[in-house]
Amino acid sequence: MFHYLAKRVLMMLLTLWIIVTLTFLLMHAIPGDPFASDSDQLPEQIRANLRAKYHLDEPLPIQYVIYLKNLMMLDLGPSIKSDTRGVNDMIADGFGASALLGMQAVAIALVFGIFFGIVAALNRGNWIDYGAMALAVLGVAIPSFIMAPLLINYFAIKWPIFPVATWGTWLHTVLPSLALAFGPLAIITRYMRASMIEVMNQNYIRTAEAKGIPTWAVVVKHGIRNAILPVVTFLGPLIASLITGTFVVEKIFAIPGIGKYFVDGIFNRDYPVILGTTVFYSSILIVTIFLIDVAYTLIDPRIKLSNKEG
Amino acid sequence: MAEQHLLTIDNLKVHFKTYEGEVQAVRGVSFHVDKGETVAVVGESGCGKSVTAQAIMGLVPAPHGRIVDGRIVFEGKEITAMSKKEQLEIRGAQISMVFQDPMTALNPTMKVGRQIAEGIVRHHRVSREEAHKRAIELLRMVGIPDPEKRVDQFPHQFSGGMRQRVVIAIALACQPKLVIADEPTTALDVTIQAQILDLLKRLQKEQRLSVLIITHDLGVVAAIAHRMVVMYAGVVVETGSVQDVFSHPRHPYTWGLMRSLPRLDGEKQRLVPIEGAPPDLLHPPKGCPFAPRCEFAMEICDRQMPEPAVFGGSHQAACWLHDPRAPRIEELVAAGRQTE
Amino acid sequence: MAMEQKVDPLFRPLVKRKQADAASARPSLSNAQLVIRKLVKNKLAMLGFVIIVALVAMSIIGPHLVPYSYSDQNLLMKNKPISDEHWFGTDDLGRDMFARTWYGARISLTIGVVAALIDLIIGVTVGGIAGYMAGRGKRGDRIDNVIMRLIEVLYGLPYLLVVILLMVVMEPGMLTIIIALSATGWVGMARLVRGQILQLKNQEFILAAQVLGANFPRILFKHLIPNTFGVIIVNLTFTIPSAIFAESFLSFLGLGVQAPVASWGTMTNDALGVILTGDWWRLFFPALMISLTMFAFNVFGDGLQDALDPRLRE
Repeated sequence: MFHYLAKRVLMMLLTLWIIVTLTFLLMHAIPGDPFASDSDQLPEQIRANLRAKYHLDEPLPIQYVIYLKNLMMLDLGPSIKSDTRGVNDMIADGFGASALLGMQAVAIALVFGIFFGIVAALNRGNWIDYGAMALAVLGVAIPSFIMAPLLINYFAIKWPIFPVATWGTWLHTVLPSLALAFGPLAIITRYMRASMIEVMNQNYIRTAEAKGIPTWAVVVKHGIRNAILPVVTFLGPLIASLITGTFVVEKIFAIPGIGKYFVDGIFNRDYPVILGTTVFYSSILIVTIFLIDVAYTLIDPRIKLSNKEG
Repeated sequence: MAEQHLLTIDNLKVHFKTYEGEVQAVRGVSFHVDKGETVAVVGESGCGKSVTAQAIMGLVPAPHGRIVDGRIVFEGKEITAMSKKEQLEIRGAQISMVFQDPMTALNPTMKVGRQIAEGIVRHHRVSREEAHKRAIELLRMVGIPDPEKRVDQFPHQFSGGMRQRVVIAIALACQPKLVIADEPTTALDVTIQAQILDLLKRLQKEQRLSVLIITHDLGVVAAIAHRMVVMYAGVVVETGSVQDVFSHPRHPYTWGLMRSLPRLDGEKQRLVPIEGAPPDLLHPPKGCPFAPRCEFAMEICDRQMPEPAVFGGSHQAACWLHDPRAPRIEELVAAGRQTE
Repeated sequence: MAMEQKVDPLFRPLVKRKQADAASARPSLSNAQLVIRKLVKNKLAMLGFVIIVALVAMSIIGPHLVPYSYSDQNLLMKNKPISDEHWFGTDDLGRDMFARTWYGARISLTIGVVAALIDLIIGVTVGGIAGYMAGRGKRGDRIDNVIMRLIEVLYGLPYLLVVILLMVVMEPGMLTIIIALSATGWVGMARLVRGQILQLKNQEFILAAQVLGANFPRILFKHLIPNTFGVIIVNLTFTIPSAIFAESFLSFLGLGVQAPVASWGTMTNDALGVILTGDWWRLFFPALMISLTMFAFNVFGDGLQDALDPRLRE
């Protein structure tokens, strides 16, 4: 078990390191001076000071080492465009909103996705199944940046149940979470349905039925338990798509989350911000995937983490 | 009046709706099982023996499969006419089933003990702890060593033969009166097969069980059955005690089966397979289904299903050869055809 | 002594017709034919296929159906709704939406298909080499291991994030978008191909072929590739929409193709601001096209996957 865990942690750190380095190299591959492109004509002296402040006149490897050192101390650096706040501050500010949005979306996608998937599988061939599959197809076809304005148009403008945008009350979270969750929900539904169908065709379901236990017990205790396992493997990519989805949703709904800072940073070519938020997101993603993998090996009794048992 | 049979199948007909039409899997099958005896249902793949077993359990895959005619009577009660709820009471408790492939017959994510206890809790309304204790005893009974430890393990920690024992333990958990074993040894090695058959024989004696064993292997039949039912293309062609049928088979299909078995005793004979293939059950023939492959087939065989002819005791065979109007078998043999 | 030959005619020997072999009754079809047959029966998948063909056709002839080009501006005709002169309306610079939509189709579809094809080429090569090399001695195993590690690590990178980063660095444009998309997109295909080859290599029919005397290149071509083909094609039908989606996403962030070149993504992005003012047609058409494309490819890919899956055969 240890051996496996250690190996995975190593892989994880390696991937993180690659991301950090890649991001760093890319950011510094752009020729020229980030301050030169400013429309305000900065006096030469100030520009020199700024460059020194951001270590931009040091050779690249030194900048890299400084960067890594700062990362170890969880310091993502200052923002070029904003004087008052560093990247860490931005992330701290936006974290609450983004986290809430993300977790709500995950919850919606998982709960409803699994539910619809099971229902569709058990009602194969009739309209319930077709309905759920139609929903699933729509979810894949309609990207979040189309879904969001659609939702706003119908549920905030034409039919003013929800506020149009921004953040504040619980009501504000509904439409954005839905827009974000829609795609993942569709995919989970499909996955769960396929998994459930396959499981219900297995011989051990016949054995369970032959015991004379009621159908619901067969479905829940034998069917769902086994069908849900493969869905766990999908959680990793799910979180990934959720993260990129937040950029869209936060921008359209004007939500003050990390995604907004990220998107603004791209627009402003604020490299430390881009760099910092990318590292932040990647870390979360990679650690989450690692945790999910570990959880999966714990849930499925067939998997032996090591050759401990002989 | 004969003592009531434990299980009576009376003119059972089971059909399946498929894309290409309606398949008549079971076409008027009748036989019975008495208390304390082992009856083997023999036939090749597709003859309807498994479907018959499913029908007894009430597990014919719906909605495309259904019983269209006939009755199944268990302990005097017609289970085909019962409500779903009543059927659930019987299933697993009075009649239970042992399945074919032990590698896939067990839930991989549930502990073995729990799988055995599940039926007990449901039918005998005892606590989990009590059921757990019984599960351990059942494991011991089917010959699994160290049952206290094994009861909390998962199926993948057992070998094939052991898993089959667990499946048998599940089948016996609620002390049923009838156990249906559907090809219980087909997926196992020959040596393990022998062990499982011995186990079944022993348990049957100890618990006074009735066993209905489905198989295509005549060796299995000879090993543990008292009586046998030979099925072909959805109908019963011959039935009788294993003694009678093996020593004096009366149906050309049975002759073919016996002849295609390699024999270790006596002289070496040629292995004679039965030519041809079973008929398409989408459009079953109106006469005897074996006629196209039968060396002794007559005009009437093609047109009409034969009635079973009785040969004393419980031995019956459905073949026009036994009709008084048919030429005598000795003449046919003299004319160069073979029986046994 | 003569035997009394009084046999009832019904009991005379049966004159048998040659029993039609059930198996030979149905003509056996080649593998490809079976797959195509099954696919055609799937109405949803066929719908997807028809939509794809229609979209491609319109992307070619669409811009020629109206007298406007995608970039002709007519500031007098800003934001006009659907009319006889402008079948899809106009945008905020008076450009004809119909022409722009189908021109955008060319851009989006081209990006999608080209990126997917590059993914395919790189992925099949890398995955194929890894799969082929595995088990062929120490050197082979080492090569496979290295490639596998590489794939594992790259697979763990958040795809879209990397693409975004690349686009920030490079000048946005059609070519750079394609490069950015294919730079990391091939990993999925490589993984699949390698896995498929490994699986096939172990199967008994390869052993049988070897026993019968076939040598490895023959095995590769006659057995391995046709079986991997299906997986490759299915993956292709899924990477195209994901590339188109990625391009739209990039456009949304301002990193897509630059004006006046328009893709569906940029058109959607431009239109987002006006949902409140009610110029619905500006968002509707590009959004519809994106959705139709995603739908059609996904549904067709699903159908293809089902048709190729031997377990689902009737």
